Amino acid sequence: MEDALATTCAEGLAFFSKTNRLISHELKNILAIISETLGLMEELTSLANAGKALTPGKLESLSASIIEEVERANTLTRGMNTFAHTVDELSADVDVRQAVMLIVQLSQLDADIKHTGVKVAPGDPCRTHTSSFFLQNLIYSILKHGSGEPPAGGEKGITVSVANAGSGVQIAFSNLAEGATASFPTEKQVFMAKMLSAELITDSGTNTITIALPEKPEDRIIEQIASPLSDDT
Amino acid sequence: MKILLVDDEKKFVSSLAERLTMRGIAADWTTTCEEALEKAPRPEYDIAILDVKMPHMSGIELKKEIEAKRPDMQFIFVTGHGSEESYKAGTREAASYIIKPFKIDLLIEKINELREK
Repeated sequence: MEDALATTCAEGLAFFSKTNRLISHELKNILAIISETLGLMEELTSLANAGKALTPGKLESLSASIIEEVERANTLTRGMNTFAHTVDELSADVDVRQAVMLIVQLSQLDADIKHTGVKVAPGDPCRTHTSSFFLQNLIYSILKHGSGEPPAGGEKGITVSVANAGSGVQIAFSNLAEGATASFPTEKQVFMAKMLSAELITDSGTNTITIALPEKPEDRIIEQIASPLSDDT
Repeated sequence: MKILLVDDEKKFVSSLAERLTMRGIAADWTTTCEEALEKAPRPEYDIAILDVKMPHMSGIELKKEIEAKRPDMQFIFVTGHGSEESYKAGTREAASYIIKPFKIDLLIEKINELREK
């Protein structure tokens, strides 16, 4: 049990670290766009001061571009903040659809997943008692695993569907990359599923992977992770 | 002499190309590795500026494929990753490695260093 607990903590830290790296990389990209756009505006202003005609439409377009990038950064930092709060309570009543939407948004920061494309099928809210943080770790792992070119004739772009199933919730991943189901699950994915008391269902015929979450996890390993120490004296 | 800029962030790469051109450095850009591989063999390009992290193919892999077609091409890497691992990979593969966001004067300095080689 101690080994499993240590692995769970290590996995959690690694996932948190990976997500933060992806977010900081994207924020640097946004800053680079804003920096280049402002630089271009500065160059155009210098040329205008030197007597060259300045097109107002060009400046409007560059200003609009900066506003878009600020909004992009704002959306990203909102997602980052929500993600950071998923470790506040490692086991709780979770809106699974919201958890899926958040990790799908953040996973697009990974170049391979972005290139593949991911969409979440519309549907009703689905709730169960689980760990939002570790569930998102497993979902990210499956999205990364299933990224790439689909089998011949297949539609490109992973579709994630969330649905109530009995007393639990199922998350299905379809339109996966060729060979994704054959190499699934990895040792790490099996471990993460066990931690969530989830069942992993692979259907190579439909090229689909499903996470079946129970109403409440049987394995209490997540509950054994200690809460952080308080800063209060 | 012409620069080929490759980065999947269209706004970044197009603004940078426009600024370089305004400063007298001819520059063309693309957001895909596929188009970069199609353009790079053309003799007008002498320096390729590549993003390290791109979808489908990394900048380091792209550099190797371009080099196979254009052994005389020179490279500068740009990246949003400031990690030591990324720095080591970038500096091992190219003479220059710049972390985003950067001042255009720094990039021009690196371009001029390669021109003088």
